[in-house]
Amino acid sequence: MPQVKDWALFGWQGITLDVPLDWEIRRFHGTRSKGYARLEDGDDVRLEMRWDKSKGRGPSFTDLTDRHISGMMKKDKVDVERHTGLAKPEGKEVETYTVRPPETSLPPSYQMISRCPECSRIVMIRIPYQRGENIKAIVRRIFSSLQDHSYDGADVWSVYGLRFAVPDTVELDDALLYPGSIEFSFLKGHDRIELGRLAFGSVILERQTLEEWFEVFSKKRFKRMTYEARPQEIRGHQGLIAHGRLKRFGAMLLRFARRQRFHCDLWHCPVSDKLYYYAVLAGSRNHDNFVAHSARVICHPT
Amino acid sequence: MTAKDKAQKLDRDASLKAVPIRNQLAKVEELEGGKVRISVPIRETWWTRILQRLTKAPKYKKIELDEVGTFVWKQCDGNTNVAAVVDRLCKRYNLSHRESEVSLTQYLRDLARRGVIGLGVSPEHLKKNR
Repeated sequence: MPQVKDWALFGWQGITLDVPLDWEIRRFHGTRSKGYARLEDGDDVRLEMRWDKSKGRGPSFTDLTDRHISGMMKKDKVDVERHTGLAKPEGKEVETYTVRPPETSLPPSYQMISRCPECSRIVMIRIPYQRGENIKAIVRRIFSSLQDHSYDGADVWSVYGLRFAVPDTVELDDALLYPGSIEFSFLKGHDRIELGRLAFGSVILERQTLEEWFEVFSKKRFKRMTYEARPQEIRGHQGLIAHGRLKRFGAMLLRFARRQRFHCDLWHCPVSDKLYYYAVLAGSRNHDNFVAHSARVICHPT
Repeated sequence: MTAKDKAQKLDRDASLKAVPIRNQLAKVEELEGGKVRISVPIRETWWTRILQRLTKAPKYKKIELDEVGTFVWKQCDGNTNVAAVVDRLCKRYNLSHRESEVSLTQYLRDLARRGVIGLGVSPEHLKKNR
């Protein structure tokens, strides 16, 4: 893969990178403060990323990388070649190097460790490649594009062509990829954001209206809610907005204690032919901020 | 085929060439809106037999497929391989090839785990992956 025509933005847990279009996430775990993500191109693992927070007044970045590299050389008996100037993401302390394992069966890899003085985040990226493959230019672009924190209080998430931003105070609860749909849910305490993209817009709307479909969909998805829905254009697309609250008697106490309100935007984007929903159940402290981020779901390229 | 064979992982090429086959013992009901409900017999063991006698527990587990699930189920005709289903899914629902492949392979694995389908793999691919 020496030449890459199409690039995409990959965004996960507040970290964004430019990656070749066909590199997509296959494995992940962890939280915003510490975790792991793996991108594959269908055949092979293409990129692995780990992130963590540096703790208080830890070692200097040079000490940190020296210790990591020497530990790796000792433990795995690998050959490490340090680079100067392979990539320098803006405003970060960075070390880039190539790791060559002694066994020819294991792939060599380009690796980068970065630490952000602003957010104290440590990000480690590993890009394996086949022996003889020249991917230096690709690696340079990926490493240089690293952003590890939000600038406006919102984390950009971007996978499988779905791009959105949610407040950087929420934690990922679940992410599901299912044929035709991709869905995320985030939590902050008891407040929740759920959003998704369903890839059968016109197929669904052949037989029913958006309101009819939402009624069936919400019975399963938002079964604890009672709401009123009204049609409304959302970003120039046919859509509806639902407002409501938790419905059951048992939830009344919670309702009064937490004062949670339900809001859902649903729209059909004819350009991408997909249905999008963005739902919030939140108390007054977070409600408006969460709802405002609905505008950060990108349904089609502008 | 031994348990070890069953548990082995297939590489991408073998997964795409695998042919999903419906469970012949599954009963299919057509529902409103073109969806299907599949009833798969629960595997009988000594304790499920006891449980069934004591509690009159059902002998079938029911799985209701949604729109896309039904589409995928209909493609599992024993002749169409996973790669062809991926292509059809892309066309029908305007999905990227990568998204279809990742989501479909995951979904088929889930259906296979629930006993709704099996995956037919050629002996060459099994040998290659051994």
